[in-house]
Amino acid sequence: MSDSEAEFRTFVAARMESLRGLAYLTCGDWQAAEDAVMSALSKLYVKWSRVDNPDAYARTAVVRAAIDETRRPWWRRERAHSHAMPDYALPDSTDAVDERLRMRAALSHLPAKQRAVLVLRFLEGLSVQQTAATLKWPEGTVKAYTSRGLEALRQMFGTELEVRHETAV
Amino acid sequence: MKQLSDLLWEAKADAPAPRFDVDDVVAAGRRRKRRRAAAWAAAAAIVLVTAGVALVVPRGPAVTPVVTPTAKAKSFYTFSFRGYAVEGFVVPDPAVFDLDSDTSLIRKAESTRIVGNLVVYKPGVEPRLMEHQKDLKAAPPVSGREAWSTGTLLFWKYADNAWAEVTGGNRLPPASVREIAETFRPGDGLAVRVGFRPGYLPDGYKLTFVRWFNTESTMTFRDTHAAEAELAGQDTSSDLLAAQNGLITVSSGGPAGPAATEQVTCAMFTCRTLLDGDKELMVTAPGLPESETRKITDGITLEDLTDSSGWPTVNEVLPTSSLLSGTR
Repeated sequence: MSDSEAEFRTFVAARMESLRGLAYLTCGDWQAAEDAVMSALSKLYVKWSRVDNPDAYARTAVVRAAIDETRRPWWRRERAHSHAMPDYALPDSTDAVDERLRMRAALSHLPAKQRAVLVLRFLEGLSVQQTAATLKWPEGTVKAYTSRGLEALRQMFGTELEVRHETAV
Repeated sequence: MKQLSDLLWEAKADAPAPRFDVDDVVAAGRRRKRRRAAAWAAAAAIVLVTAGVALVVPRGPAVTPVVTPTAKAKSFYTFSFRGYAVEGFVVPDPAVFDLDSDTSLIRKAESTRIVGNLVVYKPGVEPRLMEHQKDLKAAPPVSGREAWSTGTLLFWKYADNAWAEVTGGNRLPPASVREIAETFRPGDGLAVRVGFRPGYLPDGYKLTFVRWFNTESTMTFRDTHAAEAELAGQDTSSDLLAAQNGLITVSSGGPAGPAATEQVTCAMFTCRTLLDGDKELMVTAPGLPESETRKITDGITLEDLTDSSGWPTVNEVLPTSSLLSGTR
């Protein structure tokens, strides 16, 4: 095994789990998320010696592949609900509210691009500029998606959702 | 009141066990590297599948066609096998044509989900088995001929001096992989069809790659010298930059990227335009001036993207000067 391949293996072992999670929150399906991660990392393997920032490359490739996964026809058939936002708050049905399920349900009502922006900004902790660079979108688009996505989540959660801006805009 | 970051973290916390590990990623990377070196499908849209759309005429000024389709020639651009089915899976007619191989995208029966590939190499083309050497194990013969496997991948000789492979990762059970290999028969392949007609192509390029899937159709042209060298079996992989500059890739019907608009826009060697809202036409040509790439884009006429059975063959839309001849 070459040094280059050993470095690649170390990188994949360290980052694969977090990339899976990133892809899952973007596309909403674990199998599709893994397809996206496998695709992105196999591309990175080919380019490994030429990529200066493998972390940024992998993040960009995974998110873009995950967004693409949501465009497949099986996605549209198999999803039980549309991407349209509900006009009611998600029910707080029991005392033992499972916030994990509520967040997943809330995310599933957002368009994939808004999900991607929210996940990059508030899970990965990227700034607007860094998110725009990752997705190769204008900064204004990232700001608009952030604003719309947060507003939609606040409506769906029906409670105040605190957002800590941990990175400079 | 919870932080959004905490809620997002929890939303992914109960992840199922992954279907692949680091070894699988490395194996997939090696396969991708091998296919790139063999086929030079470098640029553009290899993103899959959307719902059908109605016929759309691209925007922009009308271009008087300067390409005269030829009469039907003896077809170099013919696939080497037909599709077939095995228990639980379908191996459709091939969707990818290149100078070394034909590829079918294996899917689950009654589904559009792709679960693997069947790659059939032309006689005389040996898959780069050396890259897998340390992982290769001799496998039980397929139809009486030698076979090798790496777990998720099965290579076998389907004829004297001719190889094929089935890859499927974790979504294609080993028993199905073997059944697909055992059931494969070469021959009776259909002519390669495409979802659009180029109205203009610069001189000095030959068609070397075609891919289609549902509404998406891609053609890649390579400069004549490199294309003929590759067809003759010469190694053309040494100068990657020259190889990239010698390519023109045209792709229609794939999902539109954020840069696509209703007008033809060009940047970074690529011209693109929206097709009916959420799909795009894209032309990438690193070695050409933007004016030429734009001229190619403006000259594209689309076929009905909802019905690939009605698409014309390669020989019906391209002049002889853009076609290779002989045998693969």
